Amino acid sequence: MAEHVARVRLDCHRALSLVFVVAGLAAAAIKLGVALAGGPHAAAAADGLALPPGAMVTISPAEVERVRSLLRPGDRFYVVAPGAPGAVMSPIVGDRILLSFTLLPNVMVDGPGAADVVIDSHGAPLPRWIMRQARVRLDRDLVVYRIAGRGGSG
Amino acid sequence: LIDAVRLVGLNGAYAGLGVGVVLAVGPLRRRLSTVDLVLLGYCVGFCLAGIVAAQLALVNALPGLWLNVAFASGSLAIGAGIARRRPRLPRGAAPTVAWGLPDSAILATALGVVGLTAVRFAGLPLGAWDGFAIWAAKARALQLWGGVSAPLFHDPAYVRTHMNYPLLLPSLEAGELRALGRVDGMLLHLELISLLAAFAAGLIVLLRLCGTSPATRAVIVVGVVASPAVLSNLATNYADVPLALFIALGLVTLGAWIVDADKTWLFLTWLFFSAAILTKNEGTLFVVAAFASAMTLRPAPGGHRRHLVAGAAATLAVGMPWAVFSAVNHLTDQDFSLAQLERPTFMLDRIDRITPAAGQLVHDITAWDIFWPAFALAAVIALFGGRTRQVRFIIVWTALSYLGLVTVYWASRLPIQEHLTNSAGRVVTSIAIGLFVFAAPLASTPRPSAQPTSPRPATA
Repeated sequence: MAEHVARVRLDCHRALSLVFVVAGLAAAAIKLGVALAGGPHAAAAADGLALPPGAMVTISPAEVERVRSLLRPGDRFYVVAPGAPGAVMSPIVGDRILLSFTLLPNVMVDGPGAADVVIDSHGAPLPRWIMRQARVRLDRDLVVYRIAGRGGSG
Repeated sequence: LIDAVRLVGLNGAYAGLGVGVVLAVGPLRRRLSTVDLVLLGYCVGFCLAGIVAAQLALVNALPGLWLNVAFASGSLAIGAGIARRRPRLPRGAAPTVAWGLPDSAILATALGVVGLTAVRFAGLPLGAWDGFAIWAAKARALQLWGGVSAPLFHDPAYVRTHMNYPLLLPSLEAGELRALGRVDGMLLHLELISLLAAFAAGLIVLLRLCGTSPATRAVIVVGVVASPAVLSNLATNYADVPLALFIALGLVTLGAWIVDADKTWLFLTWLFFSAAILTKNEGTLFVVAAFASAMTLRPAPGGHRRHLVAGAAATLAVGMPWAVFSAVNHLTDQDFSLAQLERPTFMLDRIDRITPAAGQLVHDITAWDIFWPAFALAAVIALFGGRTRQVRFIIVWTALSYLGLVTVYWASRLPIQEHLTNSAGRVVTSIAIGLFVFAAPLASTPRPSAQPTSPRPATA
């Protein structure tokens, strides 16, 4: 009896192993076909995305380049971005994160007091002291101010 | 062309680093053919290079191409020296499973997919939010500053970039940027393709050492490397797939230790799991779950639970420098804190979060490719084949990992639906890929004359 059970068990093992290998190889072949045909990322490549999807940001690549051209080496910038840490991601916060990456090696600071340049992508009211000191408005579409008397090494 | 030469040189340095290490680990070396040595060396070297880069970034000494070449040269010299001093075994005493045509075909297929994907990635800009704003930003800052002196790693202005995430992935990408000599957002995530190649190379060798059949190896290796889900996730430059690959390799080696208690498996487990905990914070959860699961089993003859404890301690120790840096700079997770678990009122108030979290995680694990059904079939095969210890190990690991993730969502400060929508599909990657890769040793049928599963030579 025990021998019979062992034999049945071995037969089941072999049969299932065969199913695993045959089905697995078939699935692998299908995946290979998909991969060779272009894969799911081919569509994204065709879009030519240069920035994260627009839902999270309001600044275009051209505007990023314009801001970059306005910064001097060593300039520390502040992006006006209301919203406490932990708040739901908003386009304003998205702009801030986007600029923190794209404007490297210029360093972002977390308050206008330490900034050489203030960037406001949403026309939010700026602190009054910034409005008093922001003598130079560098860009009219995306509001970029240089704080008077401050600047990088350039 | 110069870019390609530099990237090949960097990956060659990783391979040299790993080959030196494998040469130095005698019991492992004796079981490997020359091809195995190079392939496993590449995988080991990639992990080791990532671990070293992440630690050196903490002291602002991120290595570039030439420092990696120096590491490789030193490792090869030391490894070869140790191997030369080791007494030669008599012919036939250290059986090596010959590298044959089936494994060549598996390797060629895997590398073909990887090469094709690399060509596509090279023209694919970063288009996913976290991959762009978190991981690429960290890589760029590390490349520019050489380490954590970059404000992005400690200045509150960058609090949105998940400053508490560890440094292995951005350190590897920054090393690649340094080798290229410039920042290139179109090439940055090629490092993830290199990682996929290293994973495939290492997995083939590990599964050979475990005594799996070539057909099973083909199913698992090609199944992961050519998986549309894996490739599309890699293209986002998120760290979830890299973490899953490290976890999967560690599960295979720890699962092999359960069978024969050879300490060489524990060394490899330490290496892969160390890379995992330096990749993402949830890596620590998966690693602790794996060691805890192994602890529930009676060790194989010659093994002791204290070896496991030592392995777990050594693995967690690798994450300590980053933990200290995070604590000193108050880099806490905005969404979750372990301290919240100690507040019963807080947790009870949010008990209605458990059901949606538990359901969504199950849905997302089972939605990953065909990984779940393949694992289920392999587990049944293993039970018929008497491999109950390995089945218990992987099921307990899965249960602990799953419960850990549910707890994180339970205690999270974010709205539950938003948190699940943004992350659940990704954080289960390690469970899905880990289960699928572990299906290989479960589904294998060792022939009566098969080599011992241990990397230890028969006479050792």
